[in-house]
Amino acid sequence: MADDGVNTKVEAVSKATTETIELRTEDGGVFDVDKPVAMEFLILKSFYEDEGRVFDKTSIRLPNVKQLELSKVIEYCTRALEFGAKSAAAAGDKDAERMVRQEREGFEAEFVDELSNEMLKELILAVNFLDIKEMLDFLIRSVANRIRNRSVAYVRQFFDIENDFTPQEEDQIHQENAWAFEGVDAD
Amino acid sequence: MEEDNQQELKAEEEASATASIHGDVLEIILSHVPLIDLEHARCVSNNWNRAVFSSLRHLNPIKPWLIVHKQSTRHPYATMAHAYDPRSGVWLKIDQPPINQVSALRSSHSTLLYMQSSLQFAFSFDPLHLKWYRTNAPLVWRTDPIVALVGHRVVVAGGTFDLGDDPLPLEIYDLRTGKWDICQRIPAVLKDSPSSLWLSVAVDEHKMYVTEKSSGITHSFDPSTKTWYGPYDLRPGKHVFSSAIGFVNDSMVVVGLIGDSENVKGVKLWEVMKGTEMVELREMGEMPEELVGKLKGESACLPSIGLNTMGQFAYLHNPSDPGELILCEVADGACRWGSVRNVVGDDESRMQRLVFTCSDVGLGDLHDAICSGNRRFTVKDNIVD
Repeated sequence: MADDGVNTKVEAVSKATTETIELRTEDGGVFDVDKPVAMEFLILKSFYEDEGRVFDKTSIRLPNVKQLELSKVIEYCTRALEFGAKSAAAAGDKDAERMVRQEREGFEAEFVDELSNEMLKELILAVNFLDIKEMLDFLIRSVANRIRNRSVAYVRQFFDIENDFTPQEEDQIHQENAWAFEGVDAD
Repeated sequence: MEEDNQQELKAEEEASATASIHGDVLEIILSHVPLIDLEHARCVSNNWNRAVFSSLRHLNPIKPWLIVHKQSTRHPYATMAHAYDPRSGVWLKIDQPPINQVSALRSSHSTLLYMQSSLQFAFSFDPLHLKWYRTNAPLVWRTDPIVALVGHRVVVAGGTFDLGDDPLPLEIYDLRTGKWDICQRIPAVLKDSPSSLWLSVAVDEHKMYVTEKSSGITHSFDPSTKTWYGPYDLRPGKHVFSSAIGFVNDSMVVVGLIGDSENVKGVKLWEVMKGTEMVELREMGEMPEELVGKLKGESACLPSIGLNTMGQFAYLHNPSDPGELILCEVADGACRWGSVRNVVGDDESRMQRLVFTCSDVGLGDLHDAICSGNRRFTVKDNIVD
């Protein structure tokens, strides 16, 4: 690749440590994931590091994650690591820093645009389970954006929630708890 | 254990058949949602109502809004309002019907807005100014008086009057009786003063406090007993050429400009310690240099400071060039400074006047505003500082 030095450096690194972990999703998908990417999943990191397990070629089954989600997670985390490396390489050069930031924003915008509402929800649950802080924060902000300025009906439909208020309750919810937001302690 | 090649991570304790977003994740999502949208979120379901409540209490609490009212200086004096919500860092445009105009809109402290004409006196003090009170004008007409709401009384004092040398009486309007009352005594320093230029006003439950910006000389007035107290010297030092007062976290604070109006060297915040006879000021914080630069604006001239306080927040602006708003949040004894571009442009500033109020807007207030049918809130996107 006729890329800038940083790109080739990242690739070289990941080729050098060809350690991968095999991850199996609950719907039968099998993924060979580079170790640096897999270690972004804190649930895996603590599984190995905290428990002092030896990192050997074992296969790990992820019970709450499906293949579609995992492939998206791997895509995002791989790019996030690349951006991290580019950002570090550009440190001190304001123009280069801005370029990396814009590139990242462009990638994130496109990434989230391609996600259906259903996929976005599934991803949040998967990423929450895998405990990937940066990606979770990104997804949460994206979903918060999607429900901004939306009607109650839209939000219910988006999250697949049933209205469990009785008509009297619906009237009441605005009276009760009003005090709760005036800074008075509940209990 | 390690016998085979396969290991399995513990399944989530709450692994459920349906993918539902709830609990901690839902609360975190809600902490990123602007207050105005949380009003809708509360209505989604019982679970969401509780999640909104919990998110507001534990993750991202409600913070006071700064509301910028823009009024045309020409009849019919149409007004427009924009509010800044620091909790979500968003500006909202508030569409409202034109206030039945009396005259120029003014505010001297917190949420109070008022207008006066020779016949009428109108004022409003709820967070979103849904309710306007109208009454006969006070007995004596005056330009630019001090107007303050203390408890259930509105105090009108000082101001200027072109004819006659007699001192203008202080008048008190009691909301409960709907009547005006007169009090003749007023400290000499407050006579003949156009309040918005020379005086800074702050109010607590019982008293109104009036500080002369340039000297720091302060008087307080209790309308229930019609008693004046003071003078007190609240000037933090000779290096402070102009100050303003407010209440942050229920303590009186003094914001002081250091240097001179053409060359402001710094802006500091002092807390007025509750003492006995002696007034003691404790320095709380200093505005970072970068923000002082923003405050000065293009003209680099800062003759006095516009101050709005509510809860743990202080909002500061340059009255002659309010392009940038400086925020100061006081928590655990420390000041956290920030700034935001004033989205209300100064383009036709000659034809407009800007009035700033600060409100503790809660979900109940938003609900009432929306239900009233004559408020609409639109979040303005892409406001970059």
